[in-house]
Amino acid sequence: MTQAHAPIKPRSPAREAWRRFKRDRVAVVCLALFSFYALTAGSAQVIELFQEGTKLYDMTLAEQGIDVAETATAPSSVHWQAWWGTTSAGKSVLLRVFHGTKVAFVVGLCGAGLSVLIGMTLGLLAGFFGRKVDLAVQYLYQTVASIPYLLLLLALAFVVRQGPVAAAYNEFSVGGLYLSEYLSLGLFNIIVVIGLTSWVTLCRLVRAETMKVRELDYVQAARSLGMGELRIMFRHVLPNVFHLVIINFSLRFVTAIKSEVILTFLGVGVDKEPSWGQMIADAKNELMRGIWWPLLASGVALFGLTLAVNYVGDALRDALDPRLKN
Amino acid sequence: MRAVLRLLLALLASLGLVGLSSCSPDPYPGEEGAILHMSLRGLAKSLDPPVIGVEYSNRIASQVYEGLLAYHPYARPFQLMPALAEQMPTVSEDGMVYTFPIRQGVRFHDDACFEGGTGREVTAHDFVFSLKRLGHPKARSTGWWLFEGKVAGFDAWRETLIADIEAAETAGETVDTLWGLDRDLPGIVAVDDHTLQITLAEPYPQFLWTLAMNYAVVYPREAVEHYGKEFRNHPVGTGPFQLAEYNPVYRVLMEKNPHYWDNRVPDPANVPADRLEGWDWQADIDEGRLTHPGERLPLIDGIEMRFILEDQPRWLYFKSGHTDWLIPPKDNSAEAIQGKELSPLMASRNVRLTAIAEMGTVYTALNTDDEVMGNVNLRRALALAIDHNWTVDNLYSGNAQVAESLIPPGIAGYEHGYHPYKTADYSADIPRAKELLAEAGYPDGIDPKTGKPLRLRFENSGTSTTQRHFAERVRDEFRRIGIEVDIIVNTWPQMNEKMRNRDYQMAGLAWGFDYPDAQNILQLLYGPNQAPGINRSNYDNPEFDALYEQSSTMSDSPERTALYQRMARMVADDVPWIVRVHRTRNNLQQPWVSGAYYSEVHDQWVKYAALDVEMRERLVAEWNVPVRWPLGVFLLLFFGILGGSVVQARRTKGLQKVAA
Repeated sequence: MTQAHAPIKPRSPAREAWRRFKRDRVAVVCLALFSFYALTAGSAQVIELFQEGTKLYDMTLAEQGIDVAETATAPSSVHWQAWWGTTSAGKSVLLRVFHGTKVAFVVGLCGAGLSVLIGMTLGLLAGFFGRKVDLAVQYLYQTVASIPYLLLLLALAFVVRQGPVAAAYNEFSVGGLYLSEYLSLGLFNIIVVIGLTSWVTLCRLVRAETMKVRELDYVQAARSLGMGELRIMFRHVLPNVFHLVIINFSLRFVTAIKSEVILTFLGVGVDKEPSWGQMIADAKNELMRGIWWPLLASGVALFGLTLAVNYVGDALRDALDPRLKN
Repeated sequence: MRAVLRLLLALLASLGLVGLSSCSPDPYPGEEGAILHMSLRGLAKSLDPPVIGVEYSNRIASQVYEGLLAYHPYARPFQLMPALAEQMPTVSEDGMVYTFPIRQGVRFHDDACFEGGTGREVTAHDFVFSLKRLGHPKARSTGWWLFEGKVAGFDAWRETLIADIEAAETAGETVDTLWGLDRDLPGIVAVDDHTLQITLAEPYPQFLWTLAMNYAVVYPREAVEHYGKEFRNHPVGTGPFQLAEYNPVYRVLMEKNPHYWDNRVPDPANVPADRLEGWDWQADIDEGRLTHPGERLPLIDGIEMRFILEDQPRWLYFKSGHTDWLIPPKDNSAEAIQGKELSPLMASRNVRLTAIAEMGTVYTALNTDDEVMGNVNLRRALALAIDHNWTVDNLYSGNAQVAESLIPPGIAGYEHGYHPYKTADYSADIPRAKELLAEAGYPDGIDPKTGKPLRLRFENSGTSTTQRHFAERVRDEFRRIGIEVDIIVNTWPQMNEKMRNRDYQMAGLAWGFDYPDAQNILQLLYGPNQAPGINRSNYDNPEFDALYEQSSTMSDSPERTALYQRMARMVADDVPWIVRVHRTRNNLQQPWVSGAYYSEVHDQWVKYAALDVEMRERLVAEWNVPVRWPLGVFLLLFFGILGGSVVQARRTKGLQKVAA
């Protein structure tokens, strides 16, 4: 390469991916929808942080002096809080779905984050170092994978939510601020449980891909140049398997939210704040009595987010997977 | 292509099989006569009377066995009436000696255990045998507590027997439940063939109630000898029905006892002796419960009880008319009952709804032994913060009534209007609650130790939605007086463990009465019963304990009722419990059944049932017209998709050929 030739400016991989992502119109719409959810979740979190005393979503409308009976009432225009009706405890469905979005995002992001972190790290280590490390990781994920998912989820949920883990969590503080006041034990529980149970798929994928990548010429070249193992792993191997991580993250995100719903439905999930899972669980008794609005509201919210994330995830795979280029 | 065709044929064949098997929906093929159909929610265990405690065994045993006394089938509040006793016993003046004349001419069921297979006549000796066997150590009775320390000499008799059996066993003898049973027991004696005398160790006013339980029924020695351990599956008694088939995991079939004694449905309109004091019999006639007065039992040919453990099928059995009674499972309750009324479907079918105030109380136990909850004013403030009407309307859908006292209405000791820490209309009184809270040392709910709102723990014993709602409501209500509540989810064993260790603050509990006497619930607050005993709130009030001890040896009398009321008042004042509601239990009865008045307390009501078989057949056919169109739609869809894919596959093949 000489100075005489003006360098052709290569398009960065991210830009290239975005160019290809953009081509799918529906994906763009879904991305917008997802952003809307994210914004909702963010504002719910901000409001919660600055709201002193009892949270508005936890107060019945009657308690606030609004003329709505302290029981399940159908959607009405009496007050903005009653637009989506009230729960059987007389609280605003709208506010609870709104706050549920935050819970879903916290669970989705942290749960999927933890799961992806574990899966990626183990997969990378196993694939890169092979031999005993690989055997150990394989042993671990085969064991986890051999236990039925839901049972493992439930068992862990019961173990984490009480006993030493919960006690330690409740005592954990940084500079006088207790973590448990910002992230309730129930949420923490779900995040940990989801993170610990759903990393196997990614781990397998990353391991296989890493095994392939580490034999490629450029890695061999780096090795012959005397680069350290860790540097090779993080600079050369990881970026080339990272598309798997991104795609898997989007899938885990949805799974995590769904798992929250399942766990809460079974009674071991979020308990101190409203969540979609709770509203869906409540519906099994309410629906027969003709109370459909909490289920509809939470169901639609869940459906929209799941759909958006799933579609965006698919489009991301198309955009990122090097094999699908053009 | 061959393979596809073969697959298709196999599929068709299996579909045909499914179709065929669903063509006979009658779950009782080949049944003849008027047979009652019932479902049992759990499996029956042993039918050997000393160990008969389980609910579902009782349901069966009450039709097969009889004792000296029985519950009156219609009178409410409950009353006892003679069964195999000719009349109510004569009691000696000191209340210690009960003499029962035994009904003559009553025969045991015909059974292989008797010589020639015909049942012999029941005598007082059979009662001596049966009652004594309850205390036989080898019978391992779950009902021994009924007689323990109450019948003269029974404890000593049992102790000696235990020692002797031990000696005999060390000597290598095999010992069964008959070993040493003939030893004399002065407390239970047959004076002659038809007179039984029971002498008590101390006055025990609840004694007669225990004689109406299945622990105290009569059965022949021959059956125990003949069947040995298998007696648990071969009950032989004197009841209106005898066992024809017993499959412990599937069903129990009972047929009518052809030699049943002349036991008749009470006929108060014509027989003055049947007009029990305190029984509003006219109401039972007017409201269609007493439909066959004066007729001889049994009114039907048999009973089939099926063990249907899952809620959904049990509900569907009833819905399609295949069982005659049902307590609607919780999840299907709304489909059957809306508010306090039947659902439109059930109402249009003339199903009869019996709503029974459950003999029991739901309460929030407060651990008075806890550092914080020991504060009586705090407990009072908590009690006042609760809106009881809301609880009834929203958490029980109206199927409960607010409990004024821990003793439910209809039981002696209940007092209307004394509830100092519940407002007159049972709503919450926040201002007064806050006053009391300030007196308790928590102004506005602020804990002076931390400067933050007081935090209390509420223990849940399960993960059901109902329990969560209950706890969340407690949290909402206590928040209104400035107190924060942490809801802790436990499994039932975990919660039990915490209670035994006194390591809890608040918990939602309920108590169902074993017999209609307030003593049964007051024992839960008796000081010496503290944890690990049944006094879960560790209530410790010497005055209460003294009254309890005083009342425990008194027989039912206005004096004893007064004592009960005083104790209930103490509980209301000291609030070891926040007494919540008395639940209502709903029972559904098909329109073709009559005569039987459902009860929660005993199972002797079943034998009063009459059946209109013709009506049942007609209605069951009417209700179960098969709906066939979904099958058509399914087949259409199935073959549509299959056809489509075959066409697609052929086209692709064709294209491939062209390309090649």
